Amino acid sequence: MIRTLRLKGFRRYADETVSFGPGPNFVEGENNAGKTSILYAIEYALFGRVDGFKTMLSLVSPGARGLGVEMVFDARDGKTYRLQRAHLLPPRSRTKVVGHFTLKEVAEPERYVLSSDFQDHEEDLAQKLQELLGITRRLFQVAIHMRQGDVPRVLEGAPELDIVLGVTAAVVASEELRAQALEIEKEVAALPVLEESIRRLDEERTKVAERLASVEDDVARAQERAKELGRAVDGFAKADAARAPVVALQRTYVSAEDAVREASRAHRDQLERVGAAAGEGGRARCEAEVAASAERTRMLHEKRRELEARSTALEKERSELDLARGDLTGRIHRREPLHEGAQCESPRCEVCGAAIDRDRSARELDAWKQKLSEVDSRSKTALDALDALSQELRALASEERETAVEEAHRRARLSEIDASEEEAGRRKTTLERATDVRDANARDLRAALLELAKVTPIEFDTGDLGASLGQSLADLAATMAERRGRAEAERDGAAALAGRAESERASLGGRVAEIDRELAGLRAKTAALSDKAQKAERLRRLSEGFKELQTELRQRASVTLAADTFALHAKLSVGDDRPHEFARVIVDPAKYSVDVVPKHLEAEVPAALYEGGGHRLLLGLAFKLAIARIVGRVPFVLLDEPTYGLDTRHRATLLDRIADIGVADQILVITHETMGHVSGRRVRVSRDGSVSRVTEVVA
Amino acid sequence: MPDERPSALLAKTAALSSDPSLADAASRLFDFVQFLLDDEENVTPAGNLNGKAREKLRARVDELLDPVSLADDTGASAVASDE
Repeated sequence: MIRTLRLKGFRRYADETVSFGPGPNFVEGENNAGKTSILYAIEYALFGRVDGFKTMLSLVSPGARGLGVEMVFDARDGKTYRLQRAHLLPPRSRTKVVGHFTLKEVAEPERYVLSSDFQDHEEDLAQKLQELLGITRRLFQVAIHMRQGDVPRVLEGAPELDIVLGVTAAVVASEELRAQALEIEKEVAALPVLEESIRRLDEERTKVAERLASVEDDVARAQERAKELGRAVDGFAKADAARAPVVALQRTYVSAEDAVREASRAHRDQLERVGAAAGEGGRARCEAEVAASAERTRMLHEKRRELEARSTALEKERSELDLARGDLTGRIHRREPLHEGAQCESPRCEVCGAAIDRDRSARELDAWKQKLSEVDSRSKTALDALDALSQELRALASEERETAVEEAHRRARLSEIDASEEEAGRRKTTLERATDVRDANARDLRAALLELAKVTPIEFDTGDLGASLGQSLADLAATMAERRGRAEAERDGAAALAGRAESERASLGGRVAEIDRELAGLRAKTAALSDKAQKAERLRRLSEGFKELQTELRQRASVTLAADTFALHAKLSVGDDRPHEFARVIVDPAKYSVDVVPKHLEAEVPAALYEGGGHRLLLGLAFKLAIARIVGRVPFVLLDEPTYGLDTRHRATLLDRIADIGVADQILVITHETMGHVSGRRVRVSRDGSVSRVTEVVA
Repeated sequence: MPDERPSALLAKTAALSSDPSLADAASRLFDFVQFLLDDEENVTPAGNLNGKAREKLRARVDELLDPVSLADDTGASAVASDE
């Protein structure tokens, strides 16, 4: 409810304040006094503009630098508010006005609610006023403010009612939502294709995953097989490693055995050579022959010594004989001349030189000669003996040489026998050593064979460690090599198979990852499109809901408006000199035009064409008030000259009935004629030159 | 007396009666469209929403049909978006 309205610089109002009360408030005055400006001021205060005025400058009092309106009203919340608006010309501006508003709660002290000075917006104020008064600009235009001369025309239809009833909102919402749904549905048209792509990819993924699982099994099996074969190959390698020392030992054994055989043969050969060297009779005979040769040599030596002793004695004898012969020969030669012719010289003793007689000398000479002859004989005998002895010595020497050669030969043979026997001894030692070595090798080999038999299936004769064992080892090596070769080939094959399977697995894994990425992308798109599809479906449902709402609102509004119009018309007609003449009032839900069914016609007649202006005015007023009622409990209704065209009697009656109908808590009625006696607050507007003034009329 | 407010009527429509949350969104949308239509600056001479208002409505639709914002929406953002 509006309590007061202050107009300053507003049209012809310099600064006037109008007070209003609950119920009907009548603003009366002559034409052009400024009555309607009060309603304009209310509209201006509420919305900051006035329908029909493009700029606020045209509402400014002539000569003023601005206008202002202050409206104090009671709101739905039970509180009182002061709404102030102003449009002022800034300094040096002639055409541009700047608007301000302030909404305060009237209290002690007053409290600011909204203000343009605090950067609040016009929309904020509109929202707040809708909250406080339940009024919007549309509502104000359609249901609250009934303009001068508009009342009868409303019977022809009130399409703007769609706006305040919400039908327009429902239509706009329905169409807008449908349009949005269509847009989205175009987008989601690809959804089935995406879903089919996802289905196909899912199928492909399942197949690839199954194949991948199979390949992974293959890989595992192949790798296990390769490992198993690798272990087998390692086993063969270990067997080879275990067999290698056995083979080496066996070869060593064979070599040792060969060495024994060779040593045995050499020993045997040497023994044969010893026997051959000893000849028939052997070494004993050879030694006997050597001994015999040595004995003969000794005997020959003794004989030589004997012969040489005889020879020496003979030589000594001969020498003595030669000396004796020389002595005798000398003596003879020296004495014999003394005995031949007249020699006077006396012979002399040979020893002492003393002269000896001749006879004696002759005797001696003879003796000497005799002796010389004897000496010669003996000398000849000695020479002969020496010659014989010399021959014998020469024979002996020859014999000695032969004996020495023979002995040397026999000794050489014996030495040869000794050397052979010594060699035979060495070879025997060699044989014994070789035998020892072979036996040691045999022990080692048997021990190694026993160890080898633990890891390798080998059969062998411990008694034959030579060729048979060698052949067995060779056969075993060949067998193992063949098996190892097969195992290695199988292992390589398994590894290659595992490699191929791994390659295929990697390829399949890559494909699965690729499919997953594609699926993720498609699912994201599908999810987004599904969301959009859901949104489109909800938009469709909302659109359908709003479409239903349109029909429902129109139907309900038309029925309610018809009933209210009929009832209000009946109220407004009470006491009239013509009773209520309509059987029914019908409101077209399509355009809100009013038809009536007069009692005397029993047919629908457009109300705008029915009877005279007074009837249409009354019916239009009833319809307008019905509109004000249907839009909700409005705080006030502004009626501008609703009785225009009525005579004084009917006008007073109608104004009086308007005051009673109770459409709103407050009704402001503008009328330009004196109303007579009506209940309600009355305000008179008068013109004082170019200025409008307001005075309260006390009934 | 039955509630004949548009929001109540919307909730009773065949299209929305089975989905209270959608009916609530419809009610909020209705209020918002009413709010837009109440301002002549949002309306073309033919009475339809102009492009700017349609954008606002579209934004509001997105906001309301977004399940996250729908749960705690108070309607205040509609006014804020018009600032």
